[in-house]
Amino acid sequence: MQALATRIKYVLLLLIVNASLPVFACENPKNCRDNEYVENNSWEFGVAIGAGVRTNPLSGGDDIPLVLIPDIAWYGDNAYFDNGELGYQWVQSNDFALETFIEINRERAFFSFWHPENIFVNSNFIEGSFPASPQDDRQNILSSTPITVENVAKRRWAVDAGIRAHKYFDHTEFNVALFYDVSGTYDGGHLEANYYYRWQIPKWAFSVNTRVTWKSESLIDYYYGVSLMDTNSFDLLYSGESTVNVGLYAKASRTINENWQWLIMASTEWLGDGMTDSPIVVESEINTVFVGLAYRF
Amino acid sequence: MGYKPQLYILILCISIVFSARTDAQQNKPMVLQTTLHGQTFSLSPTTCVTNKNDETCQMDLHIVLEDSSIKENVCIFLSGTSLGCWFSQTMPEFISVKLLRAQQLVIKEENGKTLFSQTLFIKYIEPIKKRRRINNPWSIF
Repeated sequence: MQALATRIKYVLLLLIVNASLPVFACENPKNCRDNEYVENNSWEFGVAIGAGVRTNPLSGGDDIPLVLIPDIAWYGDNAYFDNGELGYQWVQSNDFALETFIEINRERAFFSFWHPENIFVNSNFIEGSFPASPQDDRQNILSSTPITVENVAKRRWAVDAGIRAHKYFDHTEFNVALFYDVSGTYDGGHLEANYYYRWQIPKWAFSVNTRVTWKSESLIDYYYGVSLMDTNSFDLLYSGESTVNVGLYAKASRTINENWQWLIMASTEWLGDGMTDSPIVVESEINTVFVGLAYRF
Repeated sequence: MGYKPQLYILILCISIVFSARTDAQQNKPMVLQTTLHGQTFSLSPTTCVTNKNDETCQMDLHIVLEDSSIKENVCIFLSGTSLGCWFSQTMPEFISVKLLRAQQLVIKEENGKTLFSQTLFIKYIEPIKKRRRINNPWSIF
């Protein structure tokens, strides 16, 4: 309860800070390199080079180094591709939007990030192997303790389909998105609610948002549950429960010239009890920080 | 205290002069007339208008060399590409150009001496369509 109270305090603090910030509109969106508008039917390519890390909350899991961050998007009149999300926008007006989409669920990224299968993200999904060789995997797993991402049974990548609704105001946005596994991997879903606040001062663009995520019991059980497939210790068995995570995200960019900009990003996501109760999860939060130079082609 | 009305009038006059100058700078002349190297050139129009972004804009340029005493041929280049060379007295009245973006028009003597240079602009009737991005740029998680 104390952790939840702390999270609520952070969210309230963010909202108060936002409300007191000065607001500068970008007079000419075309000249605002890091704004949220893109030309129809054209690709947006960008790459950020810098130093950063995303912590991994899993036992034995590698932190994810952030050296190169791509930004790839294409927007047609209704269809779009935006950093791995492929979708179709059914409603788009100045103050409301609604779209449906598919994307790869990123939960799997925390499991053995440096393994080759994590680079070729779809390989396990296509093969449909869970585990690839059940008997062998089980033999290996049963003989090894303590439990880490290295010795649990493989988790597969999943593909989610989703629907998202946005409500826009001058400098704020609320959106709610529902995701459901359509790959038959974890047979569940998750729900996200986001509040964004964006503003600009000359040469600088800022974005802060808070996100509340509900993850279904089946999602948590599949990725963070511990069964006899994962361990031979009954003490470590864990049946996943639905959970709520709360995150704070901040981004600042400073225009250098038409193509280059400084990019600074930081975020913290507090994990709910459903995740932190799992013996695989050893950290109660995920932190991300990145500082670098971004080039837009 | 008697100086105040004069001061206000002076400030008002300065403001009017500056605002008039700003307006003049914002509106590009449709007919450009200039004198370089003792020659007077006039060029019109300097802005081509087309419907959509990425559409080629074609226009006929009216170029006049007034009171010309140039002995050499003059050549016209658009962004470095030659549109032709003529004796100054026989230069066609209209020259057709196609623009995909703002381009530089340069008139040179055959010996390479630049006589005249002007940027030709392009304007679109239909504004460039833009959409709001669904995800924040650089959003990776």
